[in-house]
Amino acid sequence: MTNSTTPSAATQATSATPEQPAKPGRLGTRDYIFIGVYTVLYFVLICVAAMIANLIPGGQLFMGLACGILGGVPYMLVLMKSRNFGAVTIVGVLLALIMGVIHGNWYTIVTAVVAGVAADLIARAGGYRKLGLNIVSAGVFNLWNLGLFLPFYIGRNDYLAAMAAKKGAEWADGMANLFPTWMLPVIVLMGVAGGLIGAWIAKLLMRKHFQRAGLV
Amino acid sequence: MNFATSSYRGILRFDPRTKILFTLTVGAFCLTLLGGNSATAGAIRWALTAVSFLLLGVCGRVRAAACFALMLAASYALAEWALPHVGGFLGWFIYAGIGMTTQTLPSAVAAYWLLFTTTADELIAALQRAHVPQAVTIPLAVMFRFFPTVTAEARQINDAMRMRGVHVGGGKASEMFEYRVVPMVTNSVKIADELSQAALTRGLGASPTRTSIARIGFGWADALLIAGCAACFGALACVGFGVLA
Repeated sequence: MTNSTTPSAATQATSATPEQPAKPGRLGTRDYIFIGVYTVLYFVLICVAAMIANLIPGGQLFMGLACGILGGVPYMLVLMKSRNFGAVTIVGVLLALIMGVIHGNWYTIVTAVVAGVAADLIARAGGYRKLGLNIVSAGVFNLWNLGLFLPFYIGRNDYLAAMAAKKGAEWADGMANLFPTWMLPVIVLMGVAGGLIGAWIAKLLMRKHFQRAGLV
Repeated sequence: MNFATSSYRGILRFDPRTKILFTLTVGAFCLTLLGGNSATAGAIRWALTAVSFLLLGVCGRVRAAACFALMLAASYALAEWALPHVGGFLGWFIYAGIGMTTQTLPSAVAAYWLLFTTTADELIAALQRAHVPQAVTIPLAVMFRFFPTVTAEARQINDAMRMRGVHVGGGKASEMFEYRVVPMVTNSVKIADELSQAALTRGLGASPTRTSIARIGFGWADALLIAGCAACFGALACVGFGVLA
């Protein structure tokens, strides 16, 4: 089933935009490829983080923290490599696609895109060169994984609540939502803290290894 | 994150876009509990769960479907008989466990079905037909190409570092992160550089319309499934307007 629409000579001429040296202020095909590669690295590292967090009982609470710490290096490389608006947003959209669309989680779609755009704007305020703003943007970006937890905070399951109510009304009231409400700010804080720590580690590694190797 | 390596050739062939729509519908109702606790929403949830198990079974993963169904049944059995009799922390633990299982399992089944019946090619072709810009489809294609490379790379670095005593309990655990992540990143960047040169030589990103040999397109099965999803949302709207309970 090949696509039969052969572009005419005129459209071809306009569409063949110069791609090789990405113009300042725009992302080129080269950047897209690098973004894909760094997103894979990010993904592999947060999978490791999630695995470590899930091995410990109750460790799921610390998943955001662990993801932030391990994901800091690829995130900072995305920022430093392109230094244009859009790179971090694309990473957010890719995470939304893979963690949200494929798994049917609407919250992740929203949080990943919002966190990506917000982190991108923060880093852009410093021209992608101010270390402090870059680290803050890493902390904000790490909040994308909030969407993975949100279904269990917002969703209220009356069937289970009714089952628990057979035990005792006040005990069941305490569990109206799957997790206590105070846990949400704690998770947000830990997520931001994880992102900041990860970015700080990334900065140290950057100076020690990547800048010498000429990667950024 | 493991897509099928060869395209699915059974009777029930769906377009990737339909599969995504179905997964999102299941996610909306079962995972994020759209529609609250009305009777209609409950019925929709059961119907969607049944359909996703059915699709997984019909498309050739009977054993996986049976395993997931058993898990779901066990959760409900636990909720019915064990939950009313335990309190305190253990009770909360069971409660949270059952809640998470019953909430995530239906959409996990749908996602599993989506992943193993779709190749990366088909997904990207479908996204392009849906006018998703190249800024998203190119990185996505690179990701699928790169996943096996990075995991193989990580495994080999792991072996090399284990030999040098850089592992948990090896006396150099503090260096674990640095000595594993840095080689992985530098290696991947080199591979990415070569990859991007090869891809640019072949004209990636030159023209907005790229052709694909992936066979995608809507058929009768798609129409059926889309109609079903629309019916779910329609029923929800009816509840909103007070037509249904």
